[in-house]
Amino acid sequence: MTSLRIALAVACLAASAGLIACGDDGGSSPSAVAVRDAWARSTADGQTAGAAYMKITGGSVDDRLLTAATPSDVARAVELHETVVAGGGMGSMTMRELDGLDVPAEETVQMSPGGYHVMLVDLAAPLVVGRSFDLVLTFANAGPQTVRVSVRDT
Amino acid sequence: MKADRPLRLVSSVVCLVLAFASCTSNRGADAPTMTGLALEPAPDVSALSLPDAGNGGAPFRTRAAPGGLLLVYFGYTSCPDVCPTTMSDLRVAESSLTEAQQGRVRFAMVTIDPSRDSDELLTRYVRSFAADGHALRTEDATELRAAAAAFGADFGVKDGGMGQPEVLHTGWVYVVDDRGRLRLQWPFGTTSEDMASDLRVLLTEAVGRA
Repeated sequence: MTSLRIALAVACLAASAGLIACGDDGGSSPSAVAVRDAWARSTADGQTAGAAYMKITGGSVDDRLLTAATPSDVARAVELHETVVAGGGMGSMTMRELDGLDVPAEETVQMSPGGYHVMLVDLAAPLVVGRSFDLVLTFANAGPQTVRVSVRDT
Repeated sequence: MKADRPLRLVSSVVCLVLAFASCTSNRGADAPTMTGLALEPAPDVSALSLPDAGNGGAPFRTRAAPGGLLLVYFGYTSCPDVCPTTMSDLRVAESSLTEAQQGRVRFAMVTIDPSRDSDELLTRYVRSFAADGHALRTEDATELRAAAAAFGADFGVKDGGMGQPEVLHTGWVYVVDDRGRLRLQWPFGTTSEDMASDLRVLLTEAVGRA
């Protein structure tokens, strides 16, 4: 676990470094957030819901992800979710819909399997490896950001 | 730090497993180490059978073929995060086994959401992960509850009104041997390497016994 934590800390540091580098380009506003490694798992035949994952790094001020949206040829609706261990034991897991996700300044929030995810409700078509689609993330401060999500197996 | 969250989830499950394991690890020191949780005595699920939707609803007994292993999962097809993650990990684990070993491992998924998962939908779903997989589905709520209980699994589907139904399920994978004993179970978040390693130990043991 310790090595994982260290790896995560290093990843966060690297992410912050990347953000600073981006800031040096000029263009981006001080409240900008950076979204990286956006991916969705390919879906099985008959699977009607999917999930997208990514890393979101806050800008110079605290921000909050409010909504996510995709074109209707990807999914009917998009929701922000968190997978949580339900009470009562036996390793029961369930999902909780979030009304937003805090992205503290210069911190990285990881959306990953078994944790936070963007749920794609009623997929219009299966998600196929190698394809990609647009996801519009709307932040309280940074406003709407379009992210390209690539479809992968793992 | 927020980034810790999924890790904390995994670590809490792992702690649970360790807590269990410390109560049950009283076997010989020379026994190969396995990651999954082994209950002792191993629960007997050999008497259970559920309709196999991909085989015209014929009863399917939750027991592996001689010398083989049966992996059982309780899930549902509109599961966006936990089930596809586990299926993907299982597929990677199985693909790292030899071809002969792969031929001895079968997969069965029991839907905990039979009202939304039709026979046809569930069969397509299961076979897209495992071509020879078994799609187990019953509309008899008592039968489903009893099957889950035999494995120690829990589930619940609550109508979400206008929104998505709220679904709760145990995200474990259960490994059953050819005598119908529940030999091992992996919590959500078990790596494909650990699954593959456990499968190799159990498959080797089955050869030794045959």
